[in-house]
Amino acid sequence: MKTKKLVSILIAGTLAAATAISASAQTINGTLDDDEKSGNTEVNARIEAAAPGEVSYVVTIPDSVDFGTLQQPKTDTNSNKYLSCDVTATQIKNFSKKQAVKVCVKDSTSSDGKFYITQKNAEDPFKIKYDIYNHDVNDDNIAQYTPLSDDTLTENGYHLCSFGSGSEGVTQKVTLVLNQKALYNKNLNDIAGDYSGTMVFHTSINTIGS
Amino acid sequence: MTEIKEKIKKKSNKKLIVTVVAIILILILSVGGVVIYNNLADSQPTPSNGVVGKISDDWDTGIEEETSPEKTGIQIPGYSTAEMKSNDTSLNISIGNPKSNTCGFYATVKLDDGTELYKSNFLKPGSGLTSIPVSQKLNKGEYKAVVCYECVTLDEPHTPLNSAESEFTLVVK
Repeated sequence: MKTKKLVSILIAGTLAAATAISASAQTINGTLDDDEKSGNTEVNARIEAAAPGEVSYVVTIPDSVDFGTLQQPKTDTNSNKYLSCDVTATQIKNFSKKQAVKVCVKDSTSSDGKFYITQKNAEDPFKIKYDIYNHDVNDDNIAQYTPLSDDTLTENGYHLCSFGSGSEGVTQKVTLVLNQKALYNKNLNDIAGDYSGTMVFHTSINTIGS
Repeated sequence: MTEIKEKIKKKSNKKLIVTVVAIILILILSVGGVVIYNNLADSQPTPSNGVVGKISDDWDTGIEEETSPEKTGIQIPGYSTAEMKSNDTSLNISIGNPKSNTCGFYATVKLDDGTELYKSNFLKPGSGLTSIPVSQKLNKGEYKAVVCYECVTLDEPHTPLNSAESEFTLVVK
C-alpha cells in the first residue's frame, strides 16, 4: 500500500516537472503589461535597415558608351554628338534622413581623369575625348553647364549625383558629349574603325553633413 | 501458505517499482533531450542561406521592389556594412547579379589597399551567393572595402561593359 502511494506520488511529480520543462522549451512571445491591462495600448513600429551583408540599395547605371557612327567635320568647328543616359536609384532600403547613396564616375582606363573612347584593333589606337554632364544638355543649353571633368577628381571619380532617403525611383539625367571636331583634318585611314570606352560607377553610403 | 503469498507480493511490488522507475527515467531523458536540443538550436549562429562559396541560381537582392524594374541599364547592388570575426575564413555578404539584368557579372571583393579577398566565377542574371570564402584572415577593426562588379555581355567573348564599385564598411570583430 505504502509502495503504491509512493509510486503514485513519484509519477505525479515527474509528469508535473515534465510539463513545466516542455512549456519552458517553447518560445512565449508577448507580455501583458500594466498599460494593456488598463486599456492604453502603445503601438510601436520599427523600420529595420539592411542587416550587415545584405543588399542595402540598388542603383541602375547605363550599360555602355556607344556614340554610333561619327562624322568627320569639313571645318574646324564644334560638332557635338550627344548621348543621353540615366542613373537611377532603383531600390533604397530604409535609409535614415541623413543617409544618401553617393554616385561617382570615372573612366575605366584613363590616367588623366578624362573620358575617352578608344579605337579597337589598332596598333596605335586613336583616342577621342568626351565629356559627361549631369544634366540633359544639347546645342542650345550646353554653354550653361560645365562638364564633370571641370570638378575635382577624387580617387572614386567625379561626383555625379546623390540619392537620399525616399529617392527610390528617382533618375539622374546624364549626357555624354563628344565633339567630332577632334576628327577634323585627320587621316581617315588612320582613325577609321570601331571605338569603345567604359566607365566605372562608384557608389557608397554617406551621411549627409559629415 | 501465507509466507508464499507474501513472497509473491513482495516480488510483484519490486517489479512494479522497477517498471515505474524505468518509465520515469525514460520520461526525464526524453524531456531533457528536447530542452537540450532547443538550447543548442538557439545558440547556433544563423546559417547563411547557402554553402560558403556556392553560387545559387535563385539569388535576389532581398529588397521588395516597389517600383517597376528598369528595362535598360545595369542594376548594381550596394551595401552598407558586412561583419566577420577575426578568425573567420568566410564572410556573409549577398553578392549577385539581379535577375532583371541582361548582362553577366564578375564580382571581386577587395579592401581599400587593393587586397583581394574573393573573386567570383561568371554570374549570370539571377545568380549569386550569400557567403564567400575570404583569401585571408583579418585583424579586428573596420576596413573600407568594395564589391567590384565587372559587367560583361552574356555572349562570348564577354565584351566589357560599364562597371561598378559598391563601397561598404567591413567590420572585423
